[in-house]
Amino acid sequence: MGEYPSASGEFRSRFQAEDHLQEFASLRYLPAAVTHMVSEKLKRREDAHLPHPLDQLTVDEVNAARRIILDVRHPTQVVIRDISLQEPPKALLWPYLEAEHGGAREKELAKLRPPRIAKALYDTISLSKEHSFCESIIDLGKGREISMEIIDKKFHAPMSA
Amino acid sequence: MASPLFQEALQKFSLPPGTTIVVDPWMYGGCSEETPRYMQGLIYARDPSSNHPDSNHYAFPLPIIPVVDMRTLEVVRIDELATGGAEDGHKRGTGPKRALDHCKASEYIPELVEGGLRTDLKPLNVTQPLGPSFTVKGNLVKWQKWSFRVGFNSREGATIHDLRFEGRSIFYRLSFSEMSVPYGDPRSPFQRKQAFDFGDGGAGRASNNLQLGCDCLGLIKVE
Repeated sequence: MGEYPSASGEFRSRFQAEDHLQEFASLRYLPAAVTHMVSEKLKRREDAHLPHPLDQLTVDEVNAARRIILDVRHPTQVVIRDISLQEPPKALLWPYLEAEHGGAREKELAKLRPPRIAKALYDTISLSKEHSFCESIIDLGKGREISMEIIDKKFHAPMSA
Repeated sequence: MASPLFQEALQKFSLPPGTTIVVDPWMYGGCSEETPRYMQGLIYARDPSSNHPDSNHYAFPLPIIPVVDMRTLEVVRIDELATGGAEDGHKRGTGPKRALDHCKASEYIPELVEGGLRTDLKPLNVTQPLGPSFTVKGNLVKWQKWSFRVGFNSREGATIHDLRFEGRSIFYRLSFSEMSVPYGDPRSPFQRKQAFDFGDGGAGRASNNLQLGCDCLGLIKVE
């Protein structure tokens, strides 16, 4: 691989200030070891932040959605096909994106943040082995299912295994 | 393979001893108002002369399609495929019993390519002495005044969101709708040999990661 220019004294003193870590993460000219340290610190800060509305569901969110489905359908047997992010509707997401690009800070963005929604596709299996293909919408913030639809038998689920 | 219906259908062919049958599972689609969850198996064989596990089986097709009920996991019927054209009046069942005799191997894995790989290519090196010109932070990608976010789902695969140039919105969301390939023979049941790669299988579900040095050169990750 290529060589990176070595960090100057000016970079080193600025590096101490936590506030400037954001700037440093985007600079391309730091040695690999420094870039790695900066990424690690940023990751700890980011962990404390909420996901962006367009981020994929985290492992915890997927597990939470799964738990909610199993609980609300209990005691019916459930076979889960897919759990993924339900992207926010444009009317809710657009103001957030505009504010984000306008430089709004976390407090202002928090007010515009759309609800974090998961969509789950799954089969329920009755005692008589009847399958129903279902779709549930789950509000992860509220921790509950907000809608459920049993899909008409003329429509089939996509392949999921 | 366990199905007696399927084994019976295979008996109608005269195949070299030890031929390994390969089954490609495909979506069935619908044939009436409410179709059971069927799948269809397109049937091929490994090159009988090598029986290599990575043999390109598509070069050795067999003209039968078993239809399977995915609830009961049973073969419900075998569809017979037409193999000829105008010369046999577009009829079914006109193919030879020795159904693989006309087939020629067409291998693509390096070990099996006939004549071996080319040896006269000069090296191609991609070097990026100052790193790449793009930055990636989470799902936010920036390059040359462009910025966008990358999403992913099992149906569409990768999606592009909030694409901007100098902060000015260009596209809100970009994705492929569908990729469908009709295998265009007008005779039944070929109308059902039409893969809907997004809706049926899922482009995201089927995708793999690119591999550095194999699929692309240069720096592909910056974080």
